[in-house]
Amino acid sequence: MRWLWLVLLIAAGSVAPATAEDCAAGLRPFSDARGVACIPEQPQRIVALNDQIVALPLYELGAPVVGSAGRVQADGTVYLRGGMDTLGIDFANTDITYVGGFDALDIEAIASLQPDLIIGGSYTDAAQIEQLQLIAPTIVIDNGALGLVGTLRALADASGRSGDFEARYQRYLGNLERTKSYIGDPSKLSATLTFMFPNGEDLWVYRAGLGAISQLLSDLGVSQPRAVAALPDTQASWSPELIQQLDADFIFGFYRQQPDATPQAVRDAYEHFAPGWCEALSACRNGQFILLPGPTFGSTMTGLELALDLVETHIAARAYTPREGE
Amino acid sequence: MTQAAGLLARRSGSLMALLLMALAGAICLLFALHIAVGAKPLPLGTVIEALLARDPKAFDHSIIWDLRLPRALIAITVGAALAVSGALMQGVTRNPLADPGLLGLMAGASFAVVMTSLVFGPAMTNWAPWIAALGAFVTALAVYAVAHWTPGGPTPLTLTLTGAVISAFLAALVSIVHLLNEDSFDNLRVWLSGSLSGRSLETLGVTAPPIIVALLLGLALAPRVTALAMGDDVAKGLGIKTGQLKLQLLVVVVVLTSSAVALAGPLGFVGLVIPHVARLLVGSDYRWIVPFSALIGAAFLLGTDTLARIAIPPREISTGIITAMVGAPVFIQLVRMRAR
Repeated sequence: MRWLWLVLLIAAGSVAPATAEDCAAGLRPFSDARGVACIPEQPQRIVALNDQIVALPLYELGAPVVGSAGRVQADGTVYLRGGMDTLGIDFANTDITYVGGFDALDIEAIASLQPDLIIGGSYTDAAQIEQLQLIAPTIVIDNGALGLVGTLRALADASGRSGDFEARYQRYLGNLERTKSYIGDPSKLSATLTFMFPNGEDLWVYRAGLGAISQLLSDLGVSQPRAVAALPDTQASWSPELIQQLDADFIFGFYRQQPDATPQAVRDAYEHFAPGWCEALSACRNGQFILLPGPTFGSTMTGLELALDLVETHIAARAYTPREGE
Repeated sequence: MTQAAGLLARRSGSLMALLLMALAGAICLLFALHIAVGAKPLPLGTVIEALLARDPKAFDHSIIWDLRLPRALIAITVGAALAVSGALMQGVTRNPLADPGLLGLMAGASFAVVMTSLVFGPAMTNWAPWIAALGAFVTALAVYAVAHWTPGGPTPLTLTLTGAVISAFLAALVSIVHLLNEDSFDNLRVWLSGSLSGRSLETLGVTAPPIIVALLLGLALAPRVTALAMGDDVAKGLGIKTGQLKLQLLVVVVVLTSSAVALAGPLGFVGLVIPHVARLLVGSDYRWIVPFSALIGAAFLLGTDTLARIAIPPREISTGIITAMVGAPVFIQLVRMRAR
C-alpha cells in the first residue's frame, strides 16, 4: 500500500499550483484553464494552435508568433482565417509557419519551430496538449469561458504584452463612452445579431459570443428582442417562420471577403431563407438591416475598434427610424 | 429473406385498395396539418385566407406559400421515392437491410457535392441538387461495374458488399475533404444532414417528373419483383428475364434515390424502415408493397418534417435527424414483431 500512497502524492504534486519559486529561472507561473504552468517571462517563439482566436490577437499585440494553425483552401494553399480581412496578414506575407489545422495539428512541424510557448484553447485535443508539453510549455486559454476581453487579456499576459493591450483597451473604453454620449440611452435601442451562410439554408442568432460585435453591443448596453435575450445558450439556429421575433431597431448580419459571401450574396441568402424577409422586418424596411464586414465578429482588438466605428456611424451618425410598435 | 405473412395478406384486393385510399386520405390530413402548424402558430382563418387570397405583403401568407407548402410537397415526393427505392432494393437483393444507400447512392451524392465544392469553391453550393444526382448515378454505375468484375458477377451479395465498400471509401474521402476545407463544409452542413429546409418549388418542378415516371415504372415492375424476391431460379422458372429485370430495377432505384437526394440531401432510414412497415401490413407481394411503401413513406416524411419544424422552437431540426430518431426505434420494434 505504501507505494500507492507514494504514487498518489507524486500525482498530487504534479498538479499542485506552481509558484514563482517552483518555476526555473526565466520562467514565471501562469494560470490557464488547466491550472498553473511555468511559462517564459518574455516568450520569443510562440506557436498558436488557432489562427482566428489566438494567432491574430497575438500578432496585433506584436507578440513573436512563429507558427500557427490555419485553414486549407480548395487549391491547397493555406491561410490564416480572418488574417487578410482583419490585419492584412497571412502565411505568405509573414514569418508565421503553418502547423496544421486547429483540429489536426502537425506536432512535428510545431517541434521543428522550437517554440518556447505554445498557446491553445479548449478546442485543442487534451492528448495532444500532453505531447506538446514535451516540446514547450503549453497553455490552454478557454475563450468561451473568458469572453473576448478576458481572452485578449490572457493572451497579452502570456505573451508579455499586457502593457500594450491595456493601453489599447483603455483607448477603446474611452471611445465607447464617446459613442454612448452620441447615442443617448443605448438601453432604449435594440439590436439583433444574425449570421447567415451564403446558401441561405440556416440562420443563426446570437445572444452573446459572436466575437467583437457581441462584446461591443454588450459594452454599449444595447438591448435585445425578448426572444433573443431569453435564449438559454449564447446562440441558436432560427426558424424562418419566426424571423419577426428578431425585429429590432437594428439587425446586423455579416459579409466576408470570400467570393460567395459578398454583401449582395448574403442579402440574397436572407431572402432565400425566408422569402419576404425585408418586408417582414421593420429594421429592414427602414434600411436598418446592416451587413458588417467579417472582422467585426472576429476576436481581435482591431475587430472591436472597427465594430465600434461602424456601429457609431450607423446608429449615432445618421437618423434612424425606431422599431415600429415600440 | 423472411417472408412474413403480413397482417392483411389474406384479405381481398378490394380491401387492399380501400386501405390504400385510406392511406391517401391520411396523407391529405397530414398535408393539411403540415401547412396548418409550424414554428409560428397561425390561426386557422389566416391559413385559409392565405390559401384562398394571398396577400403578397403579408408575411403570414408567405409562411404558408413559400415555406410550408413547398416543404410539404417535397416531403411527399421524397418520402415516396425513398420508400419505393428501398422496397425495390430489398426485393431485388433479397436483403432485408437493403436501402437506397446500399449501392453507395447516398455516399456518392454526398461525395460529389463535397468534392465539387472543394474544387470549384463554395459557389457550387447552389448546384448541389444536380451534382448530387450525378454523383449518385455515377456511383451506382461504379458499384455495378466492380460487382460485374467479381467472380459470379453482379449478384445481390456482390452488389451489397461492393456498395458497402464503396460507401465506406467515399465516406472516408468526405472526411478528408472536411479536414482540408472547413469553410466549404460549413455551407453544406445542413444539406448533408438531410433537410427539406430552403428547397424551392422550382427544384421540385425539375426533380418531380423523373420521380413520377420512376414510381410508375416501379409499380409496373412490382409483380415481377415478387417472383424475383423468391430467388432467381423461381423467377426464371416463371419466365422472367432476371438480368433484364434487375437492370430495369436498378435504373428505377437510381432515378428515385438520386432525385430524392437532390431534393433533400442524404436522408436516412426512410428507405430502410418504410418497406418493412409495408411488408408487415401486406405480406411479401410487391404488387402491394410498392404502392403501400410509397404512401406510407410520404406520410412518414410529412409527419417527421412537421415534427422537425415544431419540436424545439425557435430552432428547426434537420428532417434527417428526426427520421433517424423516429426510424431507429420503429425499426427495432418491427424486428421484434417479426421475430414473434
